[in-house]
Amino acid sequence: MMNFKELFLQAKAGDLQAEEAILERYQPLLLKMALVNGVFDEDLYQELCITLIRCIRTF
Amino acid sequence: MNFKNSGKGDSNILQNQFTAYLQVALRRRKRNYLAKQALYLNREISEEDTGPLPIIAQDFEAELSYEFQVENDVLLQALAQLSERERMFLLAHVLDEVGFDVLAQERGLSYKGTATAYYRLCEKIRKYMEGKK
Repeated sequence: MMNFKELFLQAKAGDLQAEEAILERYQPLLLKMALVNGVFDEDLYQELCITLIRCIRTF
Repeated sequence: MNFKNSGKGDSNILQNQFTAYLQVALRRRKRNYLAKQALYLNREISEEDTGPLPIIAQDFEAELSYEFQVENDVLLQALAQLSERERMFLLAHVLDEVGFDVLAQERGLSYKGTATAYYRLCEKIRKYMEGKK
């Protein structure tokens, strides 16, 4: 399996598959953050996914 | 699948740093999102709130002079003559104070076209009210 650094650099370069792989790795964190008073908020989850993609570009 | 991160080596350090960076960004995004939601909720008039409104309207009407009430009724009739779209446009400009430039952008018209449409609507209402008096 590819290590995080390689995956991250590929994602940063715009590789969609690498972005998806990172998204998958961070999904538990995103799901946890998307809970509002114990209820899953779909819109918030979408916003957080966008934030993750932005963070890959800006980190 | 679980990923064990010992915190040693380039890749693991990068992952930890990125996770910390991401967590801050996510927390900020969530805070902004919830603040926005709360703002929308405050602005919305829920169905329960619409209950006492007619009573307030009745009290208010009772205090108004007869002449004003008649004029008000004619105005309501005049507004009812307009199409839903025209009414929304007029109310957005008059009550919500939305500028012609914003309305023009929303409707895909020019500023001048929107202003003309507004004055045409006003004229339409004025003529209707004069006819009914």
